[in-house]
Amino acid sequence: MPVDLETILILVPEGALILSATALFVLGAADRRRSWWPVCATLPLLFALVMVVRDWGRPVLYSGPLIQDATGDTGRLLSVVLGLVMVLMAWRQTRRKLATEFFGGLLMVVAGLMLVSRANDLVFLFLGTELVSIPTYMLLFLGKRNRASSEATVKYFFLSLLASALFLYGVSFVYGMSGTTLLVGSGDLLGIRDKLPEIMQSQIGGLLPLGLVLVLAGLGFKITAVPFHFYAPDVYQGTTNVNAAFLACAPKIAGILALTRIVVNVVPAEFYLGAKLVIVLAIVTMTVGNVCALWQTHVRRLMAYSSIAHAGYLLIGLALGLASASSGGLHGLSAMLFYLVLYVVATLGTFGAFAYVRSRGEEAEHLDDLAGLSQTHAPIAAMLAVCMLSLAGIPPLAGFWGKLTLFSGAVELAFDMTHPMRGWFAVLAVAGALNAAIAAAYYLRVILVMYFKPPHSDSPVTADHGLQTVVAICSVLLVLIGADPGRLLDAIEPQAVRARQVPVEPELGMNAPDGEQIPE
Amino acid sequence: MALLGTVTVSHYLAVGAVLFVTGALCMATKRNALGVLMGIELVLNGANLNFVAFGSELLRKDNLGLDGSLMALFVIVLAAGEAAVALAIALNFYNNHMSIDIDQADDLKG
Repeated sequence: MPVDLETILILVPEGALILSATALFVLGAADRRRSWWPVCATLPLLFALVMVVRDWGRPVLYSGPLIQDATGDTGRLLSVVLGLVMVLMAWRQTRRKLATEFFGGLLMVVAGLMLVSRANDLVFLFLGTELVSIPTYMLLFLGKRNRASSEATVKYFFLSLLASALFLYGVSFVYGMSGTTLLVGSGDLLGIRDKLPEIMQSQIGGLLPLGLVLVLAGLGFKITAVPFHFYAPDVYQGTTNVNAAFLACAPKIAGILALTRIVVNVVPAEFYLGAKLVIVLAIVTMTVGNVCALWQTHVRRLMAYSSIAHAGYLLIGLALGLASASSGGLHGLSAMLFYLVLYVVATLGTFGAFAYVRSRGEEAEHLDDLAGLSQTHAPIAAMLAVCMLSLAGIPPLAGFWGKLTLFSGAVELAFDMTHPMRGWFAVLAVAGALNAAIAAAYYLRVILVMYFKPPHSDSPVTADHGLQTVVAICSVLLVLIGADPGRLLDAIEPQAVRARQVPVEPELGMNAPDGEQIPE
Repeated sequence: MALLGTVTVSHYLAVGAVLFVTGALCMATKRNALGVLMGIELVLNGANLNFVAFGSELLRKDNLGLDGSLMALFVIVLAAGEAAVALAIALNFYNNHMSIDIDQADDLKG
């Protein structure tokens, strides 16, 4: 595959992040005090942020294994912002001795997420997801060194490896069917997308759905979809609040971005088997997540089940994308990305608030540790309440609009008389609405504990300004997006459509695959 | 010799599938963390064999033929990196549990 100067130039931010991470690992060993290393981690992230903002909205460019489009822009911006927020959160929460390793690993993960978000090649996609996974094991390992933490690390490590292997095995079939790892070709090179009609007609085309299902299973682990969810509660409970925030966001972003790329480019037009599978997964995932969350008393376990439930909602968008791939209606996927952004913001805010609260010198563990927070730390309690209400999807806040765009997509298909799967989507929409109602119960319980239970005698403040800033930024963002959701949705909306339109533009010298209508 | 003459891609795929399933079973049944790690290596190599077989000239004559082998190389490098992380994690587990029997990882539940 051709790698020219252009490809290398658009990789500058990722390269800078990886180089600085390496420098942190090497130079950190020479410094015993390690007090100003967080600053060194912030600088490359700020540089990457400037580069990403500068590249924002550039014309779509296919350059071998890389693609530059709006999905990529959104994903890169989200990853860099996640990196900056995580640095702020971890600034004073990490142990000094391990600071360089922690921040170096964080930079690696951000670079991996940025690669995944613009991958146009299965090799790149796989390497990007692994660049997210391997430093994640390291961050988990660095969190705490006690019994629970080592158990959480072992569980996450082995299950994540199994998921990577499933993903890889699936990718091998996709590669075998198409003979290339390129997703969308450019110039003379044909990508998988260009060969799809040919593959589906060939004798061995039947293996493609098998490969796609294996890929879905591997990525399902990353986004904690049932039945690959069972590690999440244990791992979140065993690690620190900062690490849990990271685990709830980074692998989900990687999984959702990879799924978006694959659904847009590799899935055959009428892949109803996949859509049905995803609908069943979505319903089971959100029901299991929400019902199990009802009786949790450990804050991180509660949030783990909440993140499982949100994976279910995200899968609604995937099902919409799969079922309407033939009509070019990819707003299911953009609704999914929109929801992902809102979920990440609210989750970071929630874990930031949890990390802020100390109880008897330890991190907040049980829901009771939050008792009376409204009297002891009123601003934090109010902002945590905003995050909780947004996750629950209460109307004025951002989370409501996320759920609305997803559910309305499902309802639209359910009322589409010509769609062969309208019954399935009707069930999906009803299940989603019921789940949103169940979910409100446990989010509201957190707020009840904060506002109506008497405070403990000893709930010292961490006085961590980084955490305060994070929680404040997240809750303000949720309110702002809630007031004007259209702006963010518009920024995300055109990308999926654009990604689909470009490969069939005439000047690229390709023919539109059969049976596909290109949206205007 | 007649048997050797008729080796096709599907034979490689069958061996790859056997490796994959063996590895998955190994991961599911082994109690020792290192045993599980071996299972992972088998699973990855099963996928690797698929890549090399699909990329070979046995399947199609017209391809560049490098994508599959390249992917296999990347996976080998990746497996080495994962083994390094795995040893650190297993050592940490041993320090806390005095054993690398992963059945002992059952404190967290609820």
